[in-house]
Amino acid sequence: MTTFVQLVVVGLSTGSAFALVGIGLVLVYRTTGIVNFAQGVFAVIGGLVTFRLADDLPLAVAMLVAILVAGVLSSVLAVVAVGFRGRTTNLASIIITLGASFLAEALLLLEFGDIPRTYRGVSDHAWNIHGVLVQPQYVLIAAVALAAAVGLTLFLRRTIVGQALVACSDSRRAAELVGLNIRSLAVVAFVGAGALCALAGSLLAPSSPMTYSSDVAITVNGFAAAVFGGLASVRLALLGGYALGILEQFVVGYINPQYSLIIALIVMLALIGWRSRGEIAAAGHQAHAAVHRARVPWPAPVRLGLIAAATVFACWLAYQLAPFDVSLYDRMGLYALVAVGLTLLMGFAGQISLGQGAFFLIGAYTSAILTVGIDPDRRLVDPEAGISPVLAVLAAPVVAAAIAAVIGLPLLRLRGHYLAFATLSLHLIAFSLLYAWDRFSGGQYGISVTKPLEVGGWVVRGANHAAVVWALVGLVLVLATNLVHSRVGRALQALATDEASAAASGVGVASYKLRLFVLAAALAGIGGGLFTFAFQFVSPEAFPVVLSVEFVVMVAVGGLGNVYGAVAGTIAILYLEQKLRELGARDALAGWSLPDAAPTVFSYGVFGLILIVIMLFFPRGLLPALGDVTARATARISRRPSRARASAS
Amino acid sequence: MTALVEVRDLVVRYGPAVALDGVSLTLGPGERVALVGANGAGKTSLLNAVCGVVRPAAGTVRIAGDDVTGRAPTHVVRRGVTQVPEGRQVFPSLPVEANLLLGAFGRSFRTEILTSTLRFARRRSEARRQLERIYSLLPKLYELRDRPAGRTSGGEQQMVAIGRALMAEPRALAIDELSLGLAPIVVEQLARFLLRLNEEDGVAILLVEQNAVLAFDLCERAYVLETGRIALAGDSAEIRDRPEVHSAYLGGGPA
Repeated sequence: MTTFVQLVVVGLSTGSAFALVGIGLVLVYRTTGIVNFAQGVFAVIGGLVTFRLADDLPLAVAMLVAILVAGVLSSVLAVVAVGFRGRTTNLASIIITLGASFLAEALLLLEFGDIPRTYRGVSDHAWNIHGVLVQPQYVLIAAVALAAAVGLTLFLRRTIVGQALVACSDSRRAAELVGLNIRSLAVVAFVGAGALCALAGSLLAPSSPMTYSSDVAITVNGFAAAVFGGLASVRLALLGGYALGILEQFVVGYINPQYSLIIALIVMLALIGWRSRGEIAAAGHQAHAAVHRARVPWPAPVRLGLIAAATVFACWLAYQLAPFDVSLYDRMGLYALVAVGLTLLMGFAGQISLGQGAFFLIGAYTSAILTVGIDPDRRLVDPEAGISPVLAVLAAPVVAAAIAAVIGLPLLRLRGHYLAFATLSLHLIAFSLLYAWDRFSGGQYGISVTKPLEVGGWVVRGANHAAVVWALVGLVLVLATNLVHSRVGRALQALATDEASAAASGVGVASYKLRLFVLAAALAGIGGGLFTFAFQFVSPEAFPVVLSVEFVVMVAVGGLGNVYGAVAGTIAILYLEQKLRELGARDALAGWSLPDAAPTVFSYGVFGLILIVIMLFFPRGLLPALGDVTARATARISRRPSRARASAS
Repeated sequence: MTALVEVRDLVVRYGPAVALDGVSLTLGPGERVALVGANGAGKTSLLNAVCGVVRPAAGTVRIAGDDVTGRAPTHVVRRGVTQVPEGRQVFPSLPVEANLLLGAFGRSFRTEILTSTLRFARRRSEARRQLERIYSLLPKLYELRDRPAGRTSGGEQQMVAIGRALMAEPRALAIDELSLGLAPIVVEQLARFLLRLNEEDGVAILLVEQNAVLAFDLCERAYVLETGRIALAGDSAEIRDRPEVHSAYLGGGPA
């Protein structure tokens, strides 16, 4: 009984912190329609800035300064994320917040290093109430969260600015028509949300140390709390936070601390799925037209010929490169498979998946484990139980697709961006399971695969492997372009333009979205399955959460819905990443000495910036925009209308 | 004398689709003007372009001589033209009175939230007076003032939407589909109210209406839109008697 009460006490306190983050998410989402992926960053800012000031200033003052800093930064994010009038779509805004979270992580890493930071809370002395230990800090968090929730509710009900925010959440169009400036109101919502999160972070840091990358887990927990009430109300987000906090503590106390986040996320996902029963996705009026634009296809034979020629060249190239370059080239092909799937999902279904890295991981471990063979009793190596590597590789996309189907089925019937959070959760879950289930996965040591991938005596390794991968990329491009230009493709185009009208003309919106999601997962799965045999080795380091974001960056660079762009984007980003790594490995750059974390700072910061800049200025993708510029320049030189313009008119 | 609203050669496109193709229109102070036309003729696009909701590809919109082309709705509201949107679009979760007060807040709104709020607070008594006036014109709203607007009838919501627009003390109301989905008797009441408002307070009315009979009855002048162009313009009485109008919009054979 004492344990039970103790767990509830701790759960209420951590749950209160999640609730504050969740309330912030609800506030922003209701006012602007934007799911703010950078929400957790403000909690980290709150914690770390307070840490920095706590030695010199009284704790309360330090917290206040941290909250102000977070509020100001959040207002900057609001201006950037809401974007230019009418040009930034909802999807683009969400990607901008994602970019902002990575940029912020890079800067926080630069400023505070990667050591988790903590400081003394209000008091070290714990009250002992009938055997239950109650830290004053717990009470403080719970009280502050409750007060903030009540205060916010009163603000929304009683003040004119609060009512204006509610008006925005009821109908942004009508709010605009009565003269309210919805961009200013978006700033108010972002500032409020940022301040609440900073408050949560500065209260939480004494009990759970914080570092630059803590924001992902905080955002996911906050979203899980907010989802409890369907992202709709402050009160329900508070209750959701409590429920989530207590649930996680129960798992810690009664099952296994390793599973606390995993189980909490699974329960929340099930809850979203359960909520989705009544809702129909067709109610969505998301138009992705600003992002995706239908292209006039080349005649099929020309298209096939060009892809075939490019593929032959790509395979030939694999044998011309130096061995060190081959592995980069190989990875470009593998990631391109993932990016092509993701660009179809983002461009046509208007959904972001932040879990393509997880499907890649699932594919890789599926083929590795099946090849090596499972023996649950004596760790994993049991060659007797292993199957042929070829079959193992083929099993990888099947497993990934099956998992995607289970997750996507309930979630894709919902409006909004639940899938983004579900897939991000999936990545966190999969990643922590690698450690929790080390009997199967080898934990941090990973799995060495000895059996080579062999087809009829031809060993697929090194340059052969790269050639196979690029041949597969070619095949996938043919399939993807056929899909886009087929009857299904026209339905997809309709879906991309306007979901509501697509549904009205008989397109099964949810079913198409699901199919795209499963297809994208299968492509990531096969990429992962082959990845295992690129080095005959898999380990968790190859699949960090940032990998999933990297895929989104590749798609954004190439243009949402543009399959050729996805391949080009992959090549560009991996090349850039390689250069950044070389740059970061140097001791000094232009007279500045570089910290140890420089490679991470560079890649996070640059990826974040790329996402923000592209979504603000080139929402159709960087490469298509460059293409436009070239086409226009050529047209000007030759004084003839370019092909693009001729086909548009 | 400058027109209150002056639209010249307006072009509105949605992607490749042309919604308005060189439309010109004037609305004098205190005038009642109707826009009539079939579905998709461009009536709502015209209204939205005037109110700053859609940005025209070409042409100008002037309000009392000031160029407001492409300016945000908040700016247009301050210049004195407020839209009553199609399908009412009240704020359903807010009480009726909050809906109305937001209309006045919108009028005080500039980009900066703090000064906007202070400006609104200074004008609070003015807003109160305006609120009393609306309640006296539409006593029903006074009875409903504490009820969430989403839990009122369609006609009541239309009153809320009109009342909310009036709280901004506009010189012109731009009304999109006054009669849509409302019972004829309710429409008649609202039309009477608008007429009285126009005659007593001099609020000009730009009415988009599917119901041509209502439009011609209520308004002095009318424009007939067809596929993005003005097909006819003139006094309601004259237009009403044109045979092509009669057969196309008034459901009868040749007069």
